[in-house]
Amino acid sequence: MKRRRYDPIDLEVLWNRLITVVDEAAYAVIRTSMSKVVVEGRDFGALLLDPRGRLLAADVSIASKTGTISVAVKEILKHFPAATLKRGDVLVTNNPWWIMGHLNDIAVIAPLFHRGRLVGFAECMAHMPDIGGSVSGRPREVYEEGLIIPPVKALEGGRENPLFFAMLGANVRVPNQVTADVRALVVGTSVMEAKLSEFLAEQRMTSLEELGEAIVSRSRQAMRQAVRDTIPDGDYEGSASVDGFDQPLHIHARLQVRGGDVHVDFAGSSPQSDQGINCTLVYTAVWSTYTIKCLAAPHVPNNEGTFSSIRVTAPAGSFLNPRFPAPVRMKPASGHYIPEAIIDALKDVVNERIVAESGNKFLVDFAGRDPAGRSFSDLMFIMGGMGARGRKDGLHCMSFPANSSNLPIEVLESTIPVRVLHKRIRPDSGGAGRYRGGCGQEFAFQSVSPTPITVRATHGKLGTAPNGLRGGMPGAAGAVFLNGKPIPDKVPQVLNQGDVMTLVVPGSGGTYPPSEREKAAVRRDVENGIISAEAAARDYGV
Amino acid sequence: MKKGRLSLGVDIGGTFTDFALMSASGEVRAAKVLTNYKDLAAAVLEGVRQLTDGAPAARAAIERVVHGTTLATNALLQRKGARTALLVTAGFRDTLELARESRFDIYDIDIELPSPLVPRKHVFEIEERVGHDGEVALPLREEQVKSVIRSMKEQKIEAVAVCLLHAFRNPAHERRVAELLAKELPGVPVSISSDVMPDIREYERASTTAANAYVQPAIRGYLDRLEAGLKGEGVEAPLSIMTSDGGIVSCATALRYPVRLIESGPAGGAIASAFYARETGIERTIALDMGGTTAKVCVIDAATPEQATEFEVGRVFRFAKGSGLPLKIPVIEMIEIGAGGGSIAGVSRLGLLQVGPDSAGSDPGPACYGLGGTAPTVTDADLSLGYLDPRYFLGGRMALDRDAAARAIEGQVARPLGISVARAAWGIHEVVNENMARAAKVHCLERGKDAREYALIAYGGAGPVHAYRVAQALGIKTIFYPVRAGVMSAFGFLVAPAAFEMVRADLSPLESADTARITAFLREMEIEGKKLVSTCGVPASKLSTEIEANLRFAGQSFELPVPVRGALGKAELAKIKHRFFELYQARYHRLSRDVPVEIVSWRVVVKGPRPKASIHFSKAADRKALKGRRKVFMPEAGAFVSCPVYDRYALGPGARLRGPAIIEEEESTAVVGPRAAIRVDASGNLWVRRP
Repeated sequence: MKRRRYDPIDLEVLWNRLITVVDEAAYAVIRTSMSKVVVEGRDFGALLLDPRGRLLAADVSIASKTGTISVAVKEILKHFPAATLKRGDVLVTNNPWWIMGHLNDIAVIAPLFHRGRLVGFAECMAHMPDIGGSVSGRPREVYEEGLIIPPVKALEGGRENPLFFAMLGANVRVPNQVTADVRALVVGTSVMEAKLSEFLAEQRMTSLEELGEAIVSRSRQAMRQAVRDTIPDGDYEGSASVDGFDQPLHIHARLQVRGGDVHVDFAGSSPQSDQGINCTLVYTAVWSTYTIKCLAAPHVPNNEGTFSSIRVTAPAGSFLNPRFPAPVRMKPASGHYIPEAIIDALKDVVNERIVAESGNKFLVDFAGRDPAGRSFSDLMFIMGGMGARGRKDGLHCMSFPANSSNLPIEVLESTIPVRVLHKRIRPDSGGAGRYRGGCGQEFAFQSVSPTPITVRATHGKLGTAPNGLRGGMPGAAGAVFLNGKPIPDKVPQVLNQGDVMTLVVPGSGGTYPPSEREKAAVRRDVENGIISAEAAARDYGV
Repeated sequence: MKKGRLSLGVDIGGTFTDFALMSASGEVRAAKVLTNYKDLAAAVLEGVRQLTDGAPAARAAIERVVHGTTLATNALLQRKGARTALLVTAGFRDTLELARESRFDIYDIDIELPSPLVPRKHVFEIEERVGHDGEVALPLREEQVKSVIRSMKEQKIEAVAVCLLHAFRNPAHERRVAELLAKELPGVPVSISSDVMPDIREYERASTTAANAYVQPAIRGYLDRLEAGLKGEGVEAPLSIMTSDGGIVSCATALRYPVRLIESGPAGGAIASAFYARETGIERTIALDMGGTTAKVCVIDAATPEQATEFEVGRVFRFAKGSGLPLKIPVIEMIEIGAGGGSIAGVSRLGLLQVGPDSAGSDPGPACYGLGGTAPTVTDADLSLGYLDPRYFLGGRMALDRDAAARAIEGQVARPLGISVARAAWGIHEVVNENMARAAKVHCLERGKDAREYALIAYGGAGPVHAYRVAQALGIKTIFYPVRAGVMSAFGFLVAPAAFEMVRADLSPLESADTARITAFLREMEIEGKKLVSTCGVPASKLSTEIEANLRFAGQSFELPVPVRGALGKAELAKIKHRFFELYQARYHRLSRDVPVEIVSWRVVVKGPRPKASIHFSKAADRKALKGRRKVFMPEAGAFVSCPVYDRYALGPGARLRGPAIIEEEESTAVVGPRAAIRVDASGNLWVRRP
């Protein structure tokens, strides 16, 4: 085979084209999915891997699942060796210890063939609107959280495995939606195969081997260089805490940075919980690598090389690396705060690349049955403030660190029998500072369903105010109310017709002392109702 | 110019107003005058006078005037539209402010978002509620609406957008609010979302409706003056307007939906580019339209500009998708960059040279115009580099002041950076080219296209000056400079068909669709469309109608458009379903035939024929091709070199040259680098092949 050398322009173009191949798969998923959590919330992902299971490209333009090295393909190849796979085979699993950390995320994995030869794998995954299990109780094991799908063939040689689809459909509340969404993921892999084949034919390439090697090695270099430029060698420690159930959970991060390599270890973090707020190690790694990439190298594309210089460990049996069968379904309620601990560790050395603590988001699960007996089940996100940055104000109601989109009110009301009463910015919830924190919001909705609806609002850190950094003030904390009475988050509630749930999402912290803020910016905020006149006088002396 | 029937295309850009006057035989005359912001119509009238040599008979022979303007876009980009209020359902004041609550870049923590067109203080809440099924859950309280209107009066609101929840299902409340507004705030234009963009998702609908309102007063005042002015000059032909999707509508339609004019000028350029691509057989082209304020890039495969149903105006952060304001309108797909001849150069806080997106426009304009501008602009740099002839700008009708350009560059760029004026001028030229190339690259990559496989079509007043270097940055070998490149959009207006697109949401299962009812409203839409289009002077017998059903599997959120070819009935429904399955299978490679199919909406496009045009170029026989030589900066030499200057009108078909070369025409100047091969084709178009 002719050895191909890539000049920087060739490589950039081919690389971007490969990312476009993955993007097209991602578009196909949202265009064929039947769930609002995928279409509107964008809670899904598409990955292209090489025949050994190394990540080559990930969609980051539409999908919001942030990447890390894929464990799923490597694990699944142990059960189904590559040599045994045929064109049209599609494997499926939702093992939380391999994918994104809870049963709701299903991944389908398809071998990609070009001219009869295995050239890679497509992995598409999405958050399902339901995965069965208990919605009313407080599961203490993953078994209670829904259907566990071992690695099986959902399609064999292009034909659906009826047993798999029957088992799946029988175990979830909205079988049409869930089976349609798994098929949407399969569509994603089919589109990826077709587009990849087109790409290879056009480029007269027979495999992705050399291009993949170039991509991975360049990214590895770029990532290590970026870390060297951003984080001086040394050991750093930081911590954060989340509400937990009966007692707070403590995240303790220790970073060893050596010449561009980073080892993040979570020794000293709380032991695993008997409630579903544990993060499998895969998921812990997602947020650790994500944070380091944000701080050091936001523009290096996602692939094996980007993440290979970051090693993440946590003691087995801690809530950041729990043992099977720990319950895990509310992993965002703890995992979304891992970035806080890492930023806390690095806050003094990364110059302006900081974000004060954010207000995060509520994940709101709905489940119920209409009077005709039809089931409904879906998920939406309600965002809090994104913390002030090192050079800029924070952003109001902005999805950070996890990125997803809100559910338009009109789509929500057409899907779930609720009426939204208001959705508004909470003035004064952004912490004061030279750069003001982004504000949170208040979101109130009422059940209009004659039958009960089970609603679970999960946040994770409502009780403590999000802190500021470098002299910035904290933002406002959050709360949940049912008919005006405070209730805990993470606990399923039954709403009868007329009941009102109010979600008060935290704001976020400011950066640098408020006295350094430009007076004109303070006045503009007052004029637009982002801060009150009292707060302007109290915090800024304006 | 020969006597006979004439058509006139007029494009108002941020800096220049361009004219193309075409005779029945295909001869095109062009003119270009400075846009006069204080009286936009005045520039149009001046151009008409120039083109018709003051001959009233020629004016009377004009039987078609097609007009387009980038004013709406500029108003949005520069946030210079009307003081607009937005009325929303109580509880949802922050719909615009919150947008979709997601970051367009997952990893970049420094992202910025566009500020909403309507600041929070001008958003008012109306107590009412319509449910998702269209039922009224809370009736409108007219007293409360009136009290809101009183506050708006105090705030001196100039335009109003109304976007109430679920109004696309039941527009009654919006319509009533509009009536009250018309009564209480006479003269203030009102846009309601159920009319402007009747589709689900409140943020996107509000954003589109707010933009419609935001640009409405400016467009209205201007079109009124223009119509009157043209009549005053003896031009009796009705005024038609180019829309963002490349179709032409009547003035009244344009006034109602000014948001659909947002990209009318660029759409004209894209239509003209497609015309040239068809005429010359170029398979793949990237159109680069660089004017005084902005540059636009459009990808054209198989002589057809790509179409889209939404458009993002003014991306504020590194040209990133998602960093602009979303508009749901039918549009020719292209991107817009704050890079034009009037783009202002300066030194940023980080000590870096920055060019644009702020523009000096035409008033005061670049420093070299001598109209009071003191900020250094791209045109000032181009002049300092020798690319423009100070005595032949606009064919010599406007003298440029080279010293003023140098002074501006020296004071605001060269001295602060500690470099020479020449170095600073080249820096400005290079940075603005890079800005365009980067944006074009991102645009191509988003579509999975490789810019290097394309030819570049360069037009707009500044396009030919910059195209060679932009092509270089993109790795493009072939650059095509059409004749009359300086008035490309205006020419495009003349070869675009009259057309209007309408969409009607009507959710129904395909199997049980009420074909009689649907046929009735499609017929109504067709009649309405024909009425709208025939006001552009196309006889009804020449109009064609395209109908599409937008279909999806029940439960999905996105549709595929499926053409409707026969009378709606059981048989056609079955065919439609079959076509849907075929399209779906081709697009997604999989199909589940057992899920029910639903119709979401119907799209009706009424179109006139594409006007015939054959461009006719006559060489100016009485002039010498080589006008002379002048010193121009060529980065290959790292210095000013003596460069031949040619008269484009005297270069006959078949002429061949070699770069470096400057080729001048009245509306623009092509700058070609060393060793490039240049030839003139039979129609007078320039082809340049980079070494």
